[in-house]
Amino acid sequence: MTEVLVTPDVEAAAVVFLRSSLGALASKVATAVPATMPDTMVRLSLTGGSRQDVASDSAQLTTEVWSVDSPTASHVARRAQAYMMSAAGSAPGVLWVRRSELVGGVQFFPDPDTNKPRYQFTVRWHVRPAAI
Amino acid sequence: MGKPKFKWNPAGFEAIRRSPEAVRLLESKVEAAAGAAGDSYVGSVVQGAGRGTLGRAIGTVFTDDFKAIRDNAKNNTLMRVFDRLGG
Repeated sequence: MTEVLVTPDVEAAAVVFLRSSLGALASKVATAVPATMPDTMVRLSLTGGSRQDVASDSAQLTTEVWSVDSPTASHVARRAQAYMMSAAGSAPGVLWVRRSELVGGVQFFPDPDTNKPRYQFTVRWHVRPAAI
Repeated sequence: MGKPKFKWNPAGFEAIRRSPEAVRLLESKVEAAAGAAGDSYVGSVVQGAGRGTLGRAIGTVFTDDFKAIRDNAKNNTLMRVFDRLGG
């Protein structure tokens, strides 16, 4: 049997990282939206990924930001994108990110289920899979 | 034995970009992505106009009705099938 390699929990690491980086800019950073949406909500979702080789996985993370108005949502989304891109070469949430790649920059993406403005962007984090 | 030389063949690249094989490969990827996205998503492949990389075939997956538009806005469906278009 070949070596069993597991992709690390990139979503959890990104939540911890963005929560600490955004601080008071975001009311909540999580992978799920609560029943009552806070003023400024940041949701992270793992929307794809692939294995490059035995030492490198890429994880595609989509970040959505809702806020009370468009300028605030856009501001927080652009800050969040800057932090996610700056993660390269560091260990956010105890996970080494080798490289950050922008898949889709910040865009206005209206949410049909709420009347709050939503902005979103997508990045890829290149990380190392773990052998078990 | 002499030192090997490398010579680019731009006409060869152009031929590959416009080849039916390249278009078929792209069509299979687009179909897989549209199928994975759901019933109300469709794909298309068109040959680009112009020379050079402008002439390559372009594959697109898009929403076909309001149901898909709403589904994509709610679930980011197209972003989730993005990998299927890759190499």
